[in-house]
Amino acid sequence: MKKIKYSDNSYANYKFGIRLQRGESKSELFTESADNFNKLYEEIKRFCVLPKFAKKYKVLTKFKSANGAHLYKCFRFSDSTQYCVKIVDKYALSE
Amino acid sequence: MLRETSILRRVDHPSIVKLYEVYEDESNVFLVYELLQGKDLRSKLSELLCLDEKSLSDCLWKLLHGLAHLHSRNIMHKDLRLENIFLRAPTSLTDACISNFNLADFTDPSKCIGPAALLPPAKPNYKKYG
Repeated sequence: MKKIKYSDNSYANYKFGIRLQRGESKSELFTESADNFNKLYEEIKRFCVLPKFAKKYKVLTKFKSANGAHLYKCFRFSDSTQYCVKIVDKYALSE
Repeated sequence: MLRETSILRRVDHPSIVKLYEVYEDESNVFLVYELLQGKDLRSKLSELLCLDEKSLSDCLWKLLHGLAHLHSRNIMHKDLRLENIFLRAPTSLTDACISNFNLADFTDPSKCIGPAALLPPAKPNYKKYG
């Protein structure tokens, strides 16, 4: 599931929207207020695969690596806090 | 790894590590967890010379709550040991957190999997587990 957030659209009343996309199929959700949108966005975010990691985070230090996965300490620009990020190489995966 | 993310998306509990976001690009998958400031429980315990009963019981109580939360959702951690329990704060022992869901799975009573050294000795006879 991929999500693209976009705010301006031709529908005058429904200015805030989320597009969910998986392969060929996609669906779009709209809401009228920014508050509703943010609530919805936070709820749905947990269940989505998001794009553009490199734009939103800065990788700081590496602190552990175990069986193909590396743990990094990362800084998120939007709320300026640090997170622990596990980065997995897709080609190293057997599943 | 897919199973790990689907499990962590399903649980929400203060004593279980939080998975905030999942990113993907052409060659990598990024799993964004909360940053746990403290050490794992094994190195913390070997550092401490003595422990008071109160903080230890608090710590265990919270961990058991987390574990009960997992089991109530039919999830087995299957790799629960001191190295996989981390502390949120570097100093206090009370805010512990279960992490490393690499081996975790939804409950299947016919299987018994875990690190060899930590398996119960009667393993071959175990018909039910978890």
